[in-house]
Amino acid sequence: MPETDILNLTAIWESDIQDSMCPNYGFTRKRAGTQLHKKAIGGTPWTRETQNTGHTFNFTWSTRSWDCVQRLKWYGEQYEDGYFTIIDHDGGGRHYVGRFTTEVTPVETGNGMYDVQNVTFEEMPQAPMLSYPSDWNHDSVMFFVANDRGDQKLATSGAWAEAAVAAPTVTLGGVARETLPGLVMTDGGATAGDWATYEYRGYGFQLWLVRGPEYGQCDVYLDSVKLQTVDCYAATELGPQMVLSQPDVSLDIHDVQVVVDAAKNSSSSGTKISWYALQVMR
Amino acid sequence: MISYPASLKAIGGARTGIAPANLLDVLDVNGNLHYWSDRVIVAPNVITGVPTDTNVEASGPGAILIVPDGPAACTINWSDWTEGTGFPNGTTEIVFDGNGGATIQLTYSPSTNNSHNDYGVGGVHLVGAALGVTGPVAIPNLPDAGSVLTVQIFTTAWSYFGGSFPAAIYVIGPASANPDDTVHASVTWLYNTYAGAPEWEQPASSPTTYTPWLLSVSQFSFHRSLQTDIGSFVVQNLSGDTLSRDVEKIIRASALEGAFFVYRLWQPDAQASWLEVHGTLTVDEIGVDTVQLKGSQLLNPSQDDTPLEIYCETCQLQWGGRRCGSTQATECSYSFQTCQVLERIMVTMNDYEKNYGEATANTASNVINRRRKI
Repeated sequence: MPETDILNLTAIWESDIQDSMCPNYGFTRKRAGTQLHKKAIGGTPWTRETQNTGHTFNFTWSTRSWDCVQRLKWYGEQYEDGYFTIIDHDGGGRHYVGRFTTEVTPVETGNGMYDVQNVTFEEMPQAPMLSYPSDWNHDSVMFFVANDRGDQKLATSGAWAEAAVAAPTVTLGGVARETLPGLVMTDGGATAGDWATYEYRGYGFQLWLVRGPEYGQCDVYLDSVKLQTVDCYAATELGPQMVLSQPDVSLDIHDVQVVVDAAKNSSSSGTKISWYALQVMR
Repeated sequence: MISYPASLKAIGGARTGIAPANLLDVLDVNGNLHYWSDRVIVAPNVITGVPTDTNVEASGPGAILIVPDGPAACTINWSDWTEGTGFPNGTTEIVFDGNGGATIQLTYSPSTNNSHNDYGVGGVHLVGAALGVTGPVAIPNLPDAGSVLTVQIFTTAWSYFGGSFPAAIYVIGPASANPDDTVHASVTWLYNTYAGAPEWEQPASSPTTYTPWLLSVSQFSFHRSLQTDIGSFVVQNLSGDTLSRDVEKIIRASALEGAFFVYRLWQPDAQASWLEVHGTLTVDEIGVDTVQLKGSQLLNPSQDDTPLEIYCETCQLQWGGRRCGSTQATECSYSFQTCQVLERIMVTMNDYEKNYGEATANTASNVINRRRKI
């Protein structure tokens, strides 16, 4: 299994190669743009996510042993048409799966040591991971039913309508955000099969729906595969709540779909379903 | 010649530096209106389209209803807008069959049927539904297409029907028959396939917010001839929800093929346009982020269908067909020599000269006057 082949399992000195496999200067998390942009001369920009490209890193290994650069060379050759895992030990131990897309070229610097510079590592979309990114407080972003310009981004079918809601406080980017939008898309729950879908680029997701005494049940699908039935009933009005977390998802463009069941908990007074947001790991 | 308004000439001469905006009004084939520009701008629209509701001024003569000459249907909301609840309410539906007939039926029973209006003014032409008749009832004596009717309530119909019906008779009559010049109904057209003169009252041009979808108006070619004037518009194809794009939804319904457009080069500070082009659209090219629409003028001879016939020595008519007229038993050879109905033959008459020798050939000759001084 390629994702189990880790280039730098540990951040410490490895005695067998008399060196460390971690690159110098850390991980510069560059991510190529994945959106198309168009803007009329006096208008607001229109955007659309069209690609599933992940992070790209430019690595340098300076003054390394021959065994170290030999191993780098092997990873470049072996996984030219595959992928392996590299760990950002300085950045919290996050895993990335991908491959070198430029040549590993060792240059001898003297005293039997070598430099390997400007090696590009590109993440591989759709590849499984040994450990999926999970730092929701810092690495995730939140997508709401409409973007900041008021354009509805949540695709719906059926009797969905916008409604106001008291916004929750969610920690994003390391800050407890208290000014999130107070907008939901609500389906009355009268018709089973009404659905709402959000397509996103990223890894796993956390789904935020509204919970309260008059809310019903819905089925949640990821890429047309049912994950589970969510019961949005709560004895008291809770507002938007994280009702489902699915962290173990590979980097790709994914569809999260909520299908109204038109069914309810016996304690519930209604079958409403309200979509608040989708929190996506980036 | 269309003269520019004074405001435009003053602005243009002053060179204020405020750039004109490109405005594109589109009425797609499904009747939906789109207002696109290259900036967010509020400007009076040109294509006003079909109003979903005919909201008539309270002091007006009632809601306008014009008899269509095609299949159509409308609902009439009889709730009395200005007089409170003392007047009859409820809703009726009228279905025009397009052949001079129509039916009316009660779709929502009135809860109030007090008698207030004077039904005795004017002649009653169309009787709607009464409480005792839910319909559908054929409307007698429907006027010709294009006739203007007034939707109104003649409530004291008790005596009109000889006291055999309860009150609240819904009546459509001529505009002159509204007894109190007060609006009593609103008309909503459900569908209308009539594409000629408007059956609904066109609202006046109104300030409209144009959405900034128009990326460029790349070219226009004008000809002072029957050669078709064409232009092209580039519209963004990115906005929309995460599953589907706004423009894609419109194009998916084939709604832009043949859509009517009005393009204006609009000078905002003069509130007038330098250029106005009317025509129809066709989808030229759909890219990943843009759509190119081609506009061509309304008069477009290149779209005329003409018979595929050519002038040659072979007759273009089908033997025995109506245009040929032959009643003989054997088919001709589609030539002059074999033609059976010569007065209808459709060939080019050629007269070939025989024995056309070199010596006798005509040659071009020019007369040159040598006396002329050059």
